Amino acid sequence: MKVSTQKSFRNLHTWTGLLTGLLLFIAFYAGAISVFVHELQQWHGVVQQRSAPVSLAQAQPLIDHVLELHPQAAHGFNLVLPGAHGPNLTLMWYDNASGTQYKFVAEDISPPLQQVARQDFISLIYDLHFTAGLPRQTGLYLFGIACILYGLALLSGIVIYAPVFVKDLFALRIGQGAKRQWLDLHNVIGVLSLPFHVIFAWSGAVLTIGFLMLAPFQFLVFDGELLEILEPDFEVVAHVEPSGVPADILPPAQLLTIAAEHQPAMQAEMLYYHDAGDTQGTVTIYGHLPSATLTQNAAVVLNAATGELAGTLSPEQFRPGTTFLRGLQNLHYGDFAGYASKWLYFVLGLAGALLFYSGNLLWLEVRRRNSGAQPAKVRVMASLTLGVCLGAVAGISALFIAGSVLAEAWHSKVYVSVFFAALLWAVIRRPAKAGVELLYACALLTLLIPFAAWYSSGASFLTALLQGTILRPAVEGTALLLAWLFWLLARATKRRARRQDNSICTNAA
Amino acid sequence: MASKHWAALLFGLPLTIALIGILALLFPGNEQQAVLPWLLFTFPVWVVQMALMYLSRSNKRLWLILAVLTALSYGLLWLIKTSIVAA
Repeated sequence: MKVSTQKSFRNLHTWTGLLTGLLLFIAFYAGAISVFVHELQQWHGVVQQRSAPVSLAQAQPLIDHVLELHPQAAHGFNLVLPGAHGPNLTLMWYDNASGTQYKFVAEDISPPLQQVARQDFISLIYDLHFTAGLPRQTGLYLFGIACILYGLALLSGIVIYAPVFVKDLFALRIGQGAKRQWLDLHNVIGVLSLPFHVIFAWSGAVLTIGFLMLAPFQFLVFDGELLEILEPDFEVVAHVEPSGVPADILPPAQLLTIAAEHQPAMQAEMLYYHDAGDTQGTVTIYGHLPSATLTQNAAVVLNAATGELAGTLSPEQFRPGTTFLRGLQNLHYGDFAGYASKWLYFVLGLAGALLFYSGNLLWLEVRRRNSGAQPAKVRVMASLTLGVCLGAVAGISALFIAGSVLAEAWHSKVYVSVFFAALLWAVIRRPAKAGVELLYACALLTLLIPFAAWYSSGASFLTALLQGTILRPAVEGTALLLAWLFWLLARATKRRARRQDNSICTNAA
Repeated sequence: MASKHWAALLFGLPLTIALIGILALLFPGNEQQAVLPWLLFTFPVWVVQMALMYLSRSNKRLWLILAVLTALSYGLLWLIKTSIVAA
């Protein structure tokens, strides 16, 4: 390959990497944790000791209460069943007028409180994964663009690396200078997890700006008929206009029984009500259906008033496009092979975060000077890399502590304070010092997670282990392991700062 | 280098839309079933097309080729659309 071509791709890799590295770091770190979103919801329930089990009998009074309070909610709302999504029975409603999603949790107190949804620490971490903390829509579109640049960074990275592929793959030249070490680490992670990254760049783009991208096709290719063509790919049944004639809805327990007759193997997780209280109103029951395909979701649509079957959907019935789309989505979520794929995704997700962090550090290592003031662009990039990456890590660990000991209203405030404190620290301190201190802060906050859970539940996870439950030891043991890793990184960074070497050939010389 | 970035930014998406559009319209069989799978290839095709532009050694030639390709592909798309409507 021509030297000039190599140079072009190196330039492309640097720019796309720098533009997206910070966003992708947050996406991968928060994403790795969100792989276990359902397990964390159960962990939260255990730590908070909400023992009184909710019964399905509480569902209908909950629906009645919300519809009385907000008649307009009848147009569409979700009823989330206790189980995979945590111990609560929750009604979720998106209010178009205020642009806010509300939740109503069935509890002992009645009537249930109206709360803004997605303010608990688990939802906050989940949303960080695709917003990085920005307003939802802005963050989503920004991540869409980042996915395209990420794709270009992957392709250009391969082109740069291809000539030395076999020779250098497993070379970890420890002790040959920091730059060489970071480069080897960056390459080995990048190459070994390449298929995973290709899937993420692709499915990430589909999930964030996929719908937006239909617009040019709609107008330039299909002359306005595209959405009609795609309707069977997205909808279980064709939309029916409400009749305007009121009709009582069947209680959820009865609807679930009828759904089980049509899809016996499906474990129901959520009910979506559309035009509830109308004779044409429907309920879509979504659930998990064990299947040999990538997609393990199914749905049953019933008339909400009569229980009559309107349609079912299981992976076997998908059209090719639906199979493809759902397959991509499930490759993104990583729950297609139970805990095997979840842990794999967790590890690869953390490794991915390290890939972006090391990419930025490489750029800095090449440009930093041994003595005197650093160039302004190096200083700014160093502060941003340390502040944003380690701020997100520290903030997420603080969220876990807040989730154990504080009320939901405090969770987002805790994250924002920790994140911006870290960013400020990285800006005002010398980067070499700030890096070490922030890594120690990350280690400390992560170490505190099991203790916060202990304080909140009155028992340590070791007690839970002795009682034979694995959930708390798994979550809190992972936190301890991560705390140890951050501590190791902090110590290594400290040694590096003291040594001040700057070239590839320090040792060779 | 800036010239290549601009070429990728300006021509990448329109070329991708035309190419995917042509494939989706020309694909035999039940047209409606094949539309979504083709659309899902938009992102990888877009990225690969942009990356290919960086292989070019002459910026002037790159812009010329891209301009001609874009004009040709939209011409072909228009031809397919009108002939399908006529058929």
